[in-house]
Amino acid sequence: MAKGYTQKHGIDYTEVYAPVARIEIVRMIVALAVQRNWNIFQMDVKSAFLHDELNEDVYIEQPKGYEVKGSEDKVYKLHKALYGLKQAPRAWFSRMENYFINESFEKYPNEQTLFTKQSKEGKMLIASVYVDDLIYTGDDEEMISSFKYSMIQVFEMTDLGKMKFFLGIEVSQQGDGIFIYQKKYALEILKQFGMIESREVNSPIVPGSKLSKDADGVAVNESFYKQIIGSLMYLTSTRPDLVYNVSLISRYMARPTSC
Amino acid sequence: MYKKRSSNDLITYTDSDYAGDLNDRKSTSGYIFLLSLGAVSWLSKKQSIVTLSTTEAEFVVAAGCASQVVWMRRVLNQLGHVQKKSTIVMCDNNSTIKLSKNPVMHGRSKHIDVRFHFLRELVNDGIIELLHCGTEEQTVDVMTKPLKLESFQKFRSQMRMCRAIKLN
Repeated sequence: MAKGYTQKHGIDYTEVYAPVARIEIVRMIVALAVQRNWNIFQMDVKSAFLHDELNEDVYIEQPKGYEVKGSEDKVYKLHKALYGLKQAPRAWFSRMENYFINESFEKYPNEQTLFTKQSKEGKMLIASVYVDDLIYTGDDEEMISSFKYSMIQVFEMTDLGKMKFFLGIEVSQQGDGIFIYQKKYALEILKQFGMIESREVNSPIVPGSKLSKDADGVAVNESFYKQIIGSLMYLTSTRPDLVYNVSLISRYMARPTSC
Repeated sequence: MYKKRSSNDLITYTDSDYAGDLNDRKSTSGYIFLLSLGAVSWLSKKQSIVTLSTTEAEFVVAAGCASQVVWMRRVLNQLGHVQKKSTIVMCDNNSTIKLSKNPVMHGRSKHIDVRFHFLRELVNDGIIELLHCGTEEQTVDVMTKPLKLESFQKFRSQMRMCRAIKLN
């Protein structure tokens, strides 16, 4: 792991931005794949950032305990990116992007992580990239298998078969449709916030209830409250029924009090 | 849960409560997009401005929803799923629907001018169509108010949500 935090903007790096897929896009791909009776597949890569070309010259100190005898003052110049470097995710994404462009995929300025390709026969391949995770679907077996093969060849990706678990969301592809859920994640956050033994309720909020600021209340740990909200927000990726409640309680993040 | 053999058009529900926040009297916007019967995109958010009437509050969310429609249609298009018909936006406020069709400007709506024109243009171009739906069918209520258990469960199943246990 390189000490990326010692890098200076404009000297060691200029661009660090790497786009990530919107969760809405993922849900739309799932909904369309269902309609067209397509399977969705998934791949990932183990050490994504180690393969990428750098745009800048970056030097690193010799790692502690591995100094070359007699030239301890010297530094290494990097040929390729390392984990921890500020520009590593960016370099990775550009390499992926270049690949897709060379393979004559279409890319879209407003959705940078989405790539589609259409064959002469009108068959289609859709791919969406999330850093080192990738999902893809389509209706042509040959296109799918040659895409998979080249991903393995070029990016040393691992084939994970059908999409089962993506960004913490569990996916179950069945005969009559696709089900997405976050059971694992829900249990994890219950454990994290000490509520695994709590009683279940049927509805998330008392009907007609209103919240308002309590200026005199005893303040509670703000960052704990914020952590809970952050976790719940991610849970709403598959729980639209909770969105209202989460957004309601998040209006009171500034100074949470106990009752 | 996204189901096969379902209608392949995008359907939208929008709604807002009125002045639901007791501290600053702002309203809450909500919308839901259904595709393959399942919810793909949704929002529940306190509006950034204070509105003077329910129609105005509904108008703000309808305009916000319309921009999302434009984006969703573009992405669907890219995914090879062209929406030929205009996208239906369900709304339970008749005045909002009428305002989107007829350029009647009067004292109570002239200050929401920009949103008004934005929405009307999309309606004229056939990109969206506002339809009325009864409060009973307003799935999106789940995004704007604390519901009774019965309606909460009804709307939840309308979004095709089910228990994970049933899977196995």
